[in-house]
Amino acid sequence: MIAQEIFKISALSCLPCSELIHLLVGGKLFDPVDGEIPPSIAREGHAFVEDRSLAYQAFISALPPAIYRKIDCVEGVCFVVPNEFAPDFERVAREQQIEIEYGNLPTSKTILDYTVPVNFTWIVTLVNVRSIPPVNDPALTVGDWRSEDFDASGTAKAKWRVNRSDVTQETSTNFCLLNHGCLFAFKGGDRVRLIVERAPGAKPPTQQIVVAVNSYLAPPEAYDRLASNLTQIDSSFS
Amino acid sequence: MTIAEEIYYLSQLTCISCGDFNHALVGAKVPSPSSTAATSLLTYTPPENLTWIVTRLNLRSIPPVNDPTLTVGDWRSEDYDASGTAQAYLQVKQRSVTAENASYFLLFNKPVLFAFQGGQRVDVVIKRAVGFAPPDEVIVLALNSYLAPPEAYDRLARNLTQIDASYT
Repeated sequence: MIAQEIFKISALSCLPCSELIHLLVGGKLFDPVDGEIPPSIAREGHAFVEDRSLAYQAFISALPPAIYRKIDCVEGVCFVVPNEFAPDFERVAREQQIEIEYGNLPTSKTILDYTVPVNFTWIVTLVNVRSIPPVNDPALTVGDWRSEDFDASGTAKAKWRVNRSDVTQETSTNFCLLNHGCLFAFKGGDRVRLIVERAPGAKPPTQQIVVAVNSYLAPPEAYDRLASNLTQIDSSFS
Repeated sequence: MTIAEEIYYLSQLTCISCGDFNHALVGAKVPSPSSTAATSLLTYTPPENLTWIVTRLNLRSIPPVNDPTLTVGDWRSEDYDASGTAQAYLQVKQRSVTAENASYFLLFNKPVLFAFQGGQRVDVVIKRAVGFAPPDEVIVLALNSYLAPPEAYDRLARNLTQIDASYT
């Protein structure tokens, strides 16, 4: 219950109850991408540029051929494999104001994208997610229980990413992170994303994904005071 | 959490005596709106000189037994219209006080903390998405709530649930 949570977080962080604002952050999106990974780039260390803007085009055209080995484009997402012996790749990207993300795969999808208001700490205590297929979808069968699992397969992974860095284990199952009590804290001004990744071959019917994050906005000092209590994930994924 | 525990924590949060909180279940049963226009599922005016504190909005949508359009795996009772697309929001005196574009999933069947002043009409509004028209359903609502002294409203003001939603 919210009043109880406020009371307990107040006790944990030594902040007055009146400084904690309950916040429900949510969204709805339609069917995460589940494309195949082109075999030519399915390896660690590649970078991709997800941007169809003029800045992206300028970036690609500004790349001296010597600093990259390969560019593959799949459905608007281009994978640039840098030449590890050329140090200018990231500099060129910065000049063109292109954000590079390393290690992301086309089966990944951001299901929540939230920027924490400046001068607050964002405290997350429960991430509710449901994936809802259409009523009467012919692919549904007896015992289908999609509402409780991301894609009814038990195979999807989920993680938090803050700005450009993953802050929870990339291999953790969605079951670890979603629909269970948790305690995560994020600093004001940070861009926080919740990313899910389907397993290759897991292709359920078209679904609506609904997300509701139970959270609190607290003063900035809450971040350090909760640091030793925050959820850590220790999981293996095989 | 039991009612007694909820009362205890609300009392702690508001610095108001436990004895001044009355638990209230506010319910409704309505046929599901068939149109996609915004529709009030529940209208309630809290008694004057009290604060109405809502901690959970329980909702189920129940199709007719043996409806020919239902198939195996259909699980409507957990989702408003089994599509994941409806929007829901609260109004006070017919003015929206939560985001009109918020998914129903944010508002229903999970802990919340809303407070309303006595004597002011409160509506729970639902809006179906265009293109989603399941069979006729009965909607049942049960709001877990408390009636408290009027000063509770200001004392909870800073803790009340805000909704930050995007809707695509």
